[in-house]
Amino acid sequence: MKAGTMVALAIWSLEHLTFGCDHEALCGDLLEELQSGRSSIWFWREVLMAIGISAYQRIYQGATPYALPLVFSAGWSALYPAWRFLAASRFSAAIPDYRVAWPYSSFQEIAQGIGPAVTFVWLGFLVFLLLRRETISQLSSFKLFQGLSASLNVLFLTTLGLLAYLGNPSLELGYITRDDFYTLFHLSVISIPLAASIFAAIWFVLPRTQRTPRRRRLSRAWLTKTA
Amino acid sequence: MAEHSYLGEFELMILLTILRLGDEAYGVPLSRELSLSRGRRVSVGSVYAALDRLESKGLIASSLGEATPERGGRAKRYFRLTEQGLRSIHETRSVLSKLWKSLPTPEELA
Repeated sequence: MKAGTMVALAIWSLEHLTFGCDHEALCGDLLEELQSGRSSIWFWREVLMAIGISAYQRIYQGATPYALPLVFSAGWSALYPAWRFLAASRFSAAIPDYRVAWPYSSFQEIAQGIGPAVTFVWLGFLVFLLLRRETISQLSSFKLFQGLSASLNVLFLTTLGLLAYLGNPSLELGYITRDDFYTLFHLSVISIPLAASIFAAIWFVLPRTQRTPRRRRLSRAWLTKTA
Repeated sequence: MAEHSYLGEFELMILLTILRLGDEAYGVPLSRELSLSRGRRVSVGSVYAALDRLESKGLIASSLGEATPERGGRAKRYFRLTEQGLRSIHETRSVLSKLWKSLPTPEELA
């Protein structure tokens, strides 16, 4: 393989595999060193080291912000039986008992069924926000809406997944309306949709790090000159 | 007691090298100077990792410079110390100086 092609391949790797790091300046520095007489083997070694360091940083820094929300979501979901015991009956009583015709009656039943779970998830989300004041300071109403919406979607999808996992012959939304759906016969696994739902809400409102992706092709003349 | 974050060896060396290089503090001269000071090879990637860390702590600031042909049209990223960075160096120096005072000489150990 020609030296120019090797350098081009190394640059491509650097630009695509150093996630989120400032490869514009780093790449320029390595090219400057290459121009001043370094070998393409040195160049490759530096590129591989930069990719390795970037991957390590990515894993280390990427895992840290999500550790607390994950632990909180898991811990909060474990409180659901207590919530169900304390608040579910009050919640059901709070919903006006209008007699409506089918199919609207189904919506009413579903609302009564999933209402305690949704309020539990949103309460957990609110508690997390109150505990993490710095997150609130960067929170916009759009992000809040995204978080609440994501939690509903995740709760719905994971609940359907749970129904499938539990081996129901058909996916019937009616199962959700059963009083014991979120409590008794599958207590160990029911915390998964709840925890996933809380985590989804929190994930959407966590501050994001900025990335500045920028790529520029090297000219063939430059590569030929380097080779 | 006030909270301090004292600098590690490599971080301190980078900050002092930025000070020494002045307006010419960007990746290439930084890694060259550090290699000379330490007496062993320092990869540009590890220098950038430390620089990113220092910048996120607010100890240094960076700005993009000119893009030159020998860099394949890539801009240089210049670094400079912030006031907080300089204060941090002095604090680290003060702590280390106190600790150095208790270092016995080889004659005292013998």
